[in-house]
Amino acid sequence: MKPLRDAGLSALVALGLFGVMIGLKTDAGPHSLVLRARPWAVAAAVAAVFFGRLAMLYWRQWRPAGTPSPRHVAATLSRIGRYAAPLLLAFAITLPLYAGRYWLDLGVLVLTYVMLGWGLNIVVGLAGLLDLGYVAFYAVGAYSYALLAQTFDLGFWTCLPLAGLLAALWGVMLGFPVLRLRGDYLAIVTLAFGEIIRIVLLNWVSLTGGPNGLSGIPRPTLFGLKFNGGGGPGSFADFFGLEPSISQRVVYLYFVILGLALLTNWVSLRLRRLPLGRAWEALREDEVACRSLGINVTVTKLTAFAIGAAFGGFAGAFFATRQAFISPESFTFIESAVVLAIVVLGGLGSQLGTALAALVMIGGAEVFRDLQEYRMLIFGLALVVVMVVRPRGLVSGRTPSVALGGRRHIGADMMSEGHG
Amino acid sequence: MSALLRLSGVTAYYGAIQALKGVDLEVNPGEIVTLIGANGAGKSTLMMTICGNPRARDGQITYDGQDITAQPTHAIMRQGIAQSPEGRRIFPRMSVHENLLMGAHGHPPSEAEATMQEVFALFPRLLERLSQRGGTLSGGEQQMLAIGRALMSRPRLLLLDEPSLGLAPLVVRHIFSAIRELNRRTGLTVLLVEQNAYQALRLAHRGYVLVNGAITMAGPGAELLARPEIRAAYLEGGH
Repeated sequence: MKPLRDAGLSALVALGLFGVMIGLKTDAGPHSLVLRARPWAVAAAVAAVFFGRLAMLYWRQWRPAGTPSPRHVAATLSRIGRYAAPLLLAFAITLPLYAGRYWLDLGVLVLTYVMLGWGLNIVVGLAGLLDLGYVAFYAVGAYSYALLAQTFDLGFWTCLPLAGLLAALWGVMLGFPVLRLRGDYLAIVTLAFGEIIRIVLLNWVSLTGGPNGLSGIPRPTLFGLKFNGGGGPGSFADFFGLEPSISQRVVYLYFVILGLALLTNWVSLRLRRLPLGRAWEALREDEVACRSLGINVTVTKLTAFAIGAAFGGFAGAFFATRQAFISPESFTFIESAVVLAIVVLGGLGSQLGTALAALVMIGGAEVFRDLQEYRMLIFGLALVVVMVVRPRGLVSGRTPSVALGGRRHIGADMMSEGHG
Repeated sequence: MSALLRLSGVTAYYGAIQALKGVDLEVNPGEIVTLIGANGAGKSTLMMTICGNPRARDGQITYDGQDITAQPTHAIMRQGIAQSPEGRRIFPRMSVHENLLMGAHGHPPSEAEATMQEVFALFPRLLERLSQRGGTLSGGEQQMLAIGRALMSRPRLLLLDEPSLGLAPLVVRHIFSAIRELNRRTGLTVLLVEQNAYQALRLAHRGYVLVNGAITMAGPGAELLARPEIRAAYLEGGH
């Protein structure tokens, strides 16, 4: 009886929600908007919720006794993880060989978020500092490149380190006032910081063009060779005697962001094994203990902010050169939220998890584009399901940064759950 | 003999509440000194004040002849003082190995490796648990890890804050004998804060009694142990 009542209640909630959301549709009538009722669609949705809930409850009751233990699951996943990373890498490198323009563009987008995820992972995953304003550094990087390139006529590869450096500088500037803050308080201040940067960009019209943004941002070159559709002297196609094609630039951009993302990954993996990276992780675990061990907490936090921000800046510079146009609209809070969701979904501190989560979230959102408004519904549902089924993220658990003999995986049960 | 650590007239506050009311205390090189007192007497505050967090409002703290009263915590801890904090505060998700390495922060890796061997000699259990994460250790093992981690910085002065907290008597005895051995063999100076007055006073060369933020009694461990008022206040009925 209880499952039936439970499912009935769920159906009632569904009726309340869908009655308005699905049941009423506005159509353009001859003179004004016409409200059309769709009772059958509501009935179908409510029935789906009722039977879905019922099936779930019965499944829980009749579930076979021999469910795999979390430890076993973790071991299996870590084994899969060992093969998944090289496979993903091989897939990423060979993608331009067989994928068309659309898929490469999507690949560039996914890789940008992978890179942002890995950059934010340093701050949130390793150092445990919840940053809701990461998009600020993305914006600083993008505008730094655009302004440097347009004002001083500098190339992409010259501006890239400068953009990273400027973003790191802003990372430190954000870091100083929030040194004493933790958890929720830190999150709110970083959120505000992200908004301040966006609003400044929006209102400082003489420098940033305000809401009109900056356009005509130069494209990246390969040792001075340009990638343009028209070909001509000094272009990549001309130099190698190829037919000029816009897809050469797409492939080039793809490899640039792949290289940048891999650099981010490599640096984070290296840092984790250095005293600095270990100090970040220790800071995440216990700040008081860190102090008592003679660790300079101020410097440790600031370096985490700075290095995380620098990678955000690199990604921003890439974004600017890829789009050739930037405006404050690209740097809203939702971007920070998406990147943070990628990091949390992937499993805090997990490099592979972040990459998978970016693939699923960004790639998935793109694949489901045909579903229009239902896309966000599926998106939200997927987030909820992942957090219920795997509350510590897709790939949870951490490998110790030092080991005698064989490495040992630290099980998921010791990873943070829900809020860090 | 000049003291390794000297506190003179040290006061400390938590907001408006005065936690330490002018403490004078000395720890000489090679000594084990214990500070006993009831809950809330200010023992841990005293320990933390030596580390500069909270900072002493009045008075002076000198270490090895240098005034460290106004130095930042991390600078104090880099001069040869190490602390095993109250509640152990090991890093639960990091392995025992990583926990130990954190203790050697700022020291060259080769030196850390050698020091780690000494820690294993003292607490062989840590070697067995090396790749296990800190949070899965038993209370006693976590305490060994906390002390081992503190020793990784090769300190001259070791501050131990309630190492017996929540541990079985047998484990407490094991840890205390390790401290005694360390002191005898290497001449390590120890300041031990304890509620377990009997064990602490038996171990220590000298002891101080802290009541409501002020030192009320001081003397050799055995002598304090024999005093009737100490027996009445800290020993009868407990431990």
